[in-house]
Amino acid sequence: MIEFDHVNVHYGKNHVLHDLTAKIEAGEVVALIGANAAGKTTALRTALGLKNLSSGSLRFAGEDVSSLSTHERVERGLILVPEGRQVFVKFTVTENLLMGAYHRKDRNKVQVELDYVYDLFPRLLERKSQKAGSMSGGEQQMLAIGRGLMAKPKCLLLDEPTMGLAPIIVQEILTILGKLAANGMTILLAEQNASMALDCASRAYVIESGHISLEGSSESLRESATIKSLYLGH
Amino acid sequence: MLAALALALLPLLIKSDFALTILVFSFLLGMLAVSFNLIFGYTGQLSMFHAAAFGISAYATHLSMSLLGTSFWIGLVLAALLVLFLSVIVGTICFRFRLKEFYFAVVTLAFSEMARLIILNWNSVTNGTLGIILQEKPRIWLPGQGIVKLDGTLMWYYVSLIGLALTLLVCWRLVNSWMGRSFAAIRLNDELGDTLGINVFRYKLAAFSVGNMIAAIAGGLYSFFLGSIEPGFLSIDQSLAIVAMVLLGGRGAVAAPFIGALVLTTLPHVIHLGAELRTIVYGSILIFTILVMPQGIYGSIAALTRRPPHAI
Repeated sequence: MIEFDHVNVHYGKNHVLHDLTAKIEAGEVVALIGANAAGKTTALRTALGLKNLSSGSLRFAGEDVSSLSTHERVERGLILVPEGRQVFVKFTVTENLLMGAYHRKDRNKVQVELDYVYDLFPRLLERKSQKAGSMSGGEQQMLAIGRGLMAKPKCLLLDEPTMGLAPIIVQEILTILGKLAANGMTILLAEQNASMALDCASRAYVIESGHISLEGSSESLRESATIKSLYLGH
Repeated sequence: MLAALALALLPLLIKSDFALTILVFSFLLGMLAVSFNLIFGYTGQLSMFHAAAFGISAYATHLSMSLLGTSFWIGLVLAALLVLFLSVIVGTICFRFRLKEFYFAVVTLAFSEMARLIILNWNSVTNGTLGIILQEKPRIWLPGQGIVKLDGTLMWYYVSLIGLALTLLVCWRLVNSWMGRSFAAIRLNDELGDTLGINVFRYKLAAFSVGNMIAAIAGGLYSFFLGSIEPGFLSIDQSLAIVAMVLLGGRGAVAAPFIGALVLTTLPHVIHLGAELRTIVYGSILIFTILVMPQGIYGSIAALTRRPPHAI
């Protein structure tokens, strides 16, 4: 579904991603695990074209998208839910969700998706006419994910969806991700919280200072000594 | 709607030519303020090019008539097209380089000053500092009377009122469409807009171009009503006056800036003071309003008549 092929990215002179090679098949949930500033966000932003490649290529659904603009990638179903629960704080919940369907040609017929999102997140339905800025962090994160789903994604890129949230909300979001995975959604999940990410994903890549240092199935990584000592803390 | 009807019937009550003249100026400057708010209030881009669009079009309309021999209306259309062309150039430069906020204001101001200096110094065409006296009158078709000269305050009153009404209609339609939603998204968080697949560049350019073209039409009409053009049309003072109208009237509704235009146009005529003293009073009112009513006159009235929102 999505394939990073020897991707290099620079911020000015800083070489941020080194020969990143990773592949996510359709219907898979894959985690990208790494500490702060390891390059997770950059990898996702590069996938969407918010950051340009210095070299390498990026394929999505069998097509080389390296030279496409962000909105062209979004039109093809590659959807990012950015980190830090970004929502339009002055828009209502419904307006925020509709913005997710912005690029769709059939954007005036999105009732089905709207119902689907409200069904997944009943809390959002309760607050549908409330300004997004007046909601809690967890609700804003749910809104950001819901907005991503409004786009009818083929592949959902989630950037630290549980960062800074209360454990009970984290559980709730994980349950939703589980449901999406069961429905066959392709998800790339960037996370610092390795144990949570490994619970969620079937495979994972570990990224350190812009290099992929480890990759494998979740079970094998959970048993790996490096992961245990560095990320799982036992 | 009611307000529009009231304005349409107003001349039946007001016979004073002086009052009607002030209203015509308010309508034309209202077009300028309302269209500026499309760029500033809705899309969040503090353009300093608005007065330039207004002034360039005033000169271009006249030059098209005197050099190409076109009618006023054809000249006005050509001037608007010229402004569209310039807007696309200036806008492309600014938005491709992702200039925002003060950087965008400064660069558009530089373009605007460039236009003013060209007009100021191109004596053979623009008559420099002295400006140009416009003696021709546009012609319009009136039912029952055929083609007549647009002369007299009452006829100008209706032409400028129609201009303002069309401006409000165009802006209202834009703001209440998907395009308007993307304007708001760009204003609130343009990076997030990018992430959602909004073509931020295209919509910024659209708001900038449409706003400037309306300013161009206002400029052509304004100069012919006034009967003269001068380089001061493109001055920084004029740009700031437009910003003041919008801040005073309010940014939150399509028609709100018109209130600002009306107040700021009427005020100097109502308060009879020496020129310097008048500027001081005028400035103080502006500062006071901005401090006490940051949402503008419209916003403050709306806040009084509306239940406080559920949460902030």
